[in-house]
Amino acid sequence: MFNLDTLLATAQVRALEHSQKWGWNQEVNSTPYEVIESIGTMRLLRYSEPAPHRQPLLIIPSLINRYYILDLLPEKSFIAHLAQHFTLYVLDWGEARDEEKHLSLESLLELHFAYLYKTLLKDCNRTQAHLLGHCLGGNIATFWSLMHPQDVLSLTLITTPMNLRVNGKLETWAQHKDFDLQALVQAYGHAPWLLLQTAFLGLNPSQIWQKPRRFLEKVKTPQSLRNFMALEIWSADNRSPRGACFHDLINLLYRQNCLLEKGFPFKGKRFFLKDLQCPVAALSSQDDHIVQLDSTLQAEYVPQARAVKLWHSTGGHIGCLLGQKSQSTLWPELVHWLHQQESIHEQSQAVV
Amino acid sequence: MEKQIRRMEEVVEQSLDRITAHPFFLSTVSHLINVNSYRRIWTRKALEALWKDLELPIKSDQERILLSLQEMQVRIKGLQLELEEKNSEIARLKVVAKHKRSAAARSVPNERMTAVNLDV
Repeated sequence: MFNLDTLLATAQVRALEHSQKWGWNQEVNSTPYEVIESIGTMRLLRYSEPAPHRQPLLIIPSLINRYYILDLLPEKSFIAHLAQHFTLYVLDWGEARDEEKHLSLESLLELHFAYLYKTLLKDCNRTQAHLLGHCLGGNIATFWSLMHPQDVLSLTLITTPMNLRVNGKLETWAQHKDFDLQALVQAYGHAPWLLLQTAFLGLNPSQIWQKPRRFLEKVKTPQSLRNFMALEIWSADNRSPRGACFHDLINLLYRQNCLLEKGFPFKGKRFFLKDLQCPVAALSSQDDHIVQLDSTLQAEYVPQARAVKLWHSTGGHIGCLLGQKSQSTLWPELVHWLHQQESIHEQSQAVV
Repeated sequence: MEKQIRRMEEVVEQSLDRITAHPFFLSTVSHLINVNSYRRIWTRKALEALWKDLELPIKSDQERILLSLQEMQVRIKGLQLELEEKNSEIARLKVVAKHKRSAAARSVPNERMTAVNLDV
């Protein structure tokens, strides 16, 4: 039977093979790492050796795109920057296997994530770690921080949606009464990446003609061509998120607005964002068309947090973190803020 | 010319924005996706029923078994970690106990010596 998704998936694989043949992807995702542990296709990667003066930091990337957007090119690598200051770990969600479509969000947190987090703490011989979540990975980090406040040193959210009652396109689509998400996940197993990418394209349809024009206008030097190709390689490398887990996330976040309204249900308990106690930092952008500025973290959502730091940047969903301006100002500021939280925590521990 | 193209792009963009947020468009697209999903589910269910009639194992059952195995593996690994932690705690306590015993053993002869000296 003719299947458009199979055809496009094959085209994607072919494009990636060609990019390998031409050497375009040699520098993409090039920071060396070590695989500490893996469950199925999920992997815990370590980018810097544990040291007594460095606290551990775990990056939880988005479930939809690949983690290496944070390590796109050597001179634009957010991961390489953080690895200089922390014992850096990254969770790679991997390519979901067929059996993992039944893996619920609760099981993922209770078993898989809990085990990987324990392994991380044992590996660096610590009792706490900083958490940094990108997009929906930020929601996973928030759930974990609410459930295990004693294990988290601080929480950093990069373009993470928190209040999904805003009047955004993505919110309207996900909350539409006629859309049967359960059936979609049941039919495809995993949430099909093709549908998700089409939806993202639909958020800003002018991308279709703006991209080739931008290419002709801006890509004039080998360096700009290299940047363009790196981003294209990453955006063509898509994975379908685990079906049941994706269903739970969309249902809880986009349909029930669980963190602010009904609470995140876990093992008979409900966790609310207002109860978050650890220091929180969040980055959002006014130009982000995927996660709107209004939907990101606001200080009043976390009245009990020990410290709150909010950065409002310019640039899109990715650009606001990886742009030239963010590299020179935001990255050092973030590292400074995290170190500040460490020293405050050490002081409070000394008093106790 | 360029200005006109930009203006046209803006108009198209605004129109597309309006269309993609219109309830009628959203309902239609939702129904299309739903119908496609239901078609896939029904086809699979029919094939699975046929397969089951032949007393052959179906894919979803195998997937559930594999997932259960994976979950069991994670639980075992988690327990192994806990066991290692407990073992290292026991080893630490043993060392402390040994130190205490040796300290006590060192103090006993001294007492005896004192006693002997007193007797003398």
